[in-house]
Amino acid sequence: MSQPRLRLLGYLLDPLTVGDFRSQFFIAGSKLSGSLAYQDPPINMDIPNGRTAVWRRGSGWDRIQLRLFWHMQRVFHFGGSSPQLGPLEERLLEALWERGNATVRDLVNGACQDLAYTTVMTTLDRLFKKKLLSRETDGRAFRYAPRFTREELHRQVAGEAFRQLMDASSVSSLPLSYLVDVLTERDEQLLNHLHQVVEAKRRELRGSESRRGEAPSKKPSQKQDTKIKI
Amino acid sequence: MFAARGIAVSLSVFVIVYGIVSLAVSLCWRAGQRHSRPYPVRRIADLLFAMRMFPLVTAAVITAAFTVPSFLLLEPRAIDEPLGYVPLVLGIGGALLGILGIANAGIALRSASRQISRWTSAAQPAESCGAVPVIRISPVSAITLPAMTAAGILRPRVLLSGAAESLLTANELQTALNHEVAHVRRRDNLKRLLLRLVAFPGMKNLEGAWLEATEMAADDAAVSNACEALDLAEALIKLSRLTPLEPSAVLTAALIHSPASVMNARIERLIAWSDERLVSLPRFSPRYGLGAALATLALFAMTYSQLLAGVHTATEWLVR
Repeated sequence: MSQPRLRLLGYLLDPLTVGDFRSQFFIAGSKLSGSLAYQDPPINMDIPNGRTAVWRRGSGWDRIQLRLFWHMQRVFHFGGSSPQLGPLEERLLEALWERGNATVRDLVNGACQDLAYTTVMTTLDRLFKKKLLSRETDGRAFRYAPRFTREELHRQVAGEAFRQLMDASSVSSLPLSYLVDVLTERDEQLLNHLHQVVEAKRRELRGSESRRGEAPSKKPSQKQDTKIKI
Repeated sequence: MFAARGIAVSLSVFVIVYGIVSLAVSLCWRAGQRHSRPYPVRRIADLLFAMRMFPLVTAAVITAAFTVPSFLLLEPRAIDEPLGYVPLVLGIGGALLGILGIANAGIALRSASRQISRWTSAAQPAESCGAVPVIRISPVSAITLPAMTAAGILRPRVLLSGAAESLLTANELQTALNHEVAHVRRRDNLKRLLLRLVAFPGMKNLEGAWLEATEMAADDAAVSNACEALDLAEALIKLSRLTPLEPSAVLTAALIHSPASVMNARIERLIAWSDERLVSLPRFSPRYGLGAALATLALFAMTYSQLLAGVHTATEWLVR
């Protein structure tokens, strides 16, 4: 077997035999398909089990590999790729989440009056092909309904974004540490925001109680007593 | 050989029923949760736990009430027929399931005991809160303490750290303690132990939903008006700032066990607290339950022999 074919076989087998096949494969596929930043050749890409490869642009065999890897990425991704939604697609999804289900005419007459009928129809069809909507015939038209709730879709999108973030770095601990920093910072901001909301609610309660002429039942949160009240 | 055949057949039926019912529950529990949304959250928590335990209870009842009696009463003892490949495999599977479940629960119990012993190595008893003992836990070198947690299964108690006690006001501390006492009264730690016994693939989401519901149920039980709800919300916010956040020990109900982004939902729910959550659950008269139980027993008594014959025929098919 020739060297390029052995190399290709190695790439194909490695994802199936190594535990972290998705990240390895996605890196390979994404680099080849150009969806991630591509490093100028030649680069050495370490493949598990000690095999290495040198990528070379330009040869016909590499173009074949590129096409093959793109297809393998689609196959082995198992539909896990995040649905990239445009603004119009998001808007229509939001409208469907609010309504539950709708035909094109319902949306055009309702929340999307500024859009043309054909635009809404095409976009809904696109969402259906992305498997984000289900549809059933309603007379001569289709009635569309979301297949996922808002939370489920956001979870899928966020999960895929995190996976791509992890795969983008050769050192997986780097993205994780950045993520922890960001989350910690966001946690702190969230807690501060929640604290402000609680204080605002307390003021509102005190205000409503004083308007009713009652004494406030609880004092604002001040350190009062360390003794446990039994 | 008769006894071995009986054990294998019984375990086989147990495994089959357990697997089928578990699969049904894992596919249908979300629908049950959706339909129970109008009800108080503690009912939802009870329903989720009941759904989680339903496969084990069903399989145990069917095995004990039908399979074993049908084998003992209807299987000829003199015939020495082979065990059969299917009952043998399923029987071994059932035995392994039981052993793994018991081992899982035992490991969790031992881990929890060790962790609690470490935490309470320098503990001082405080007075009880609602007849539940409260223990003040002091820092021990290199051991991260939980802010506040309900620990223990047979003799549950609330562990309170000095950091939490000094950080919270009296009202906030009281509502936080009430939350932990609610966990103790609902025996949530015992339920967690039971969940360890009945592992099945695909049930993690159901268990996660139950955990979430128990926390909200404990929040509801801890407060009786909007001010107390805000006190508890503020307690959660303050204790969430205590770092580092260590994963809580198994079989304990820590007040803070998730990062702030996950606690967000609980805190916002407390902020939006309304008197409607105080609605008491309708109490059904025990006469209805007794009546239903007697009717079921009467039905079974009338049809028991036919049921046993049917079960025996089914197990014969299994052996073949």
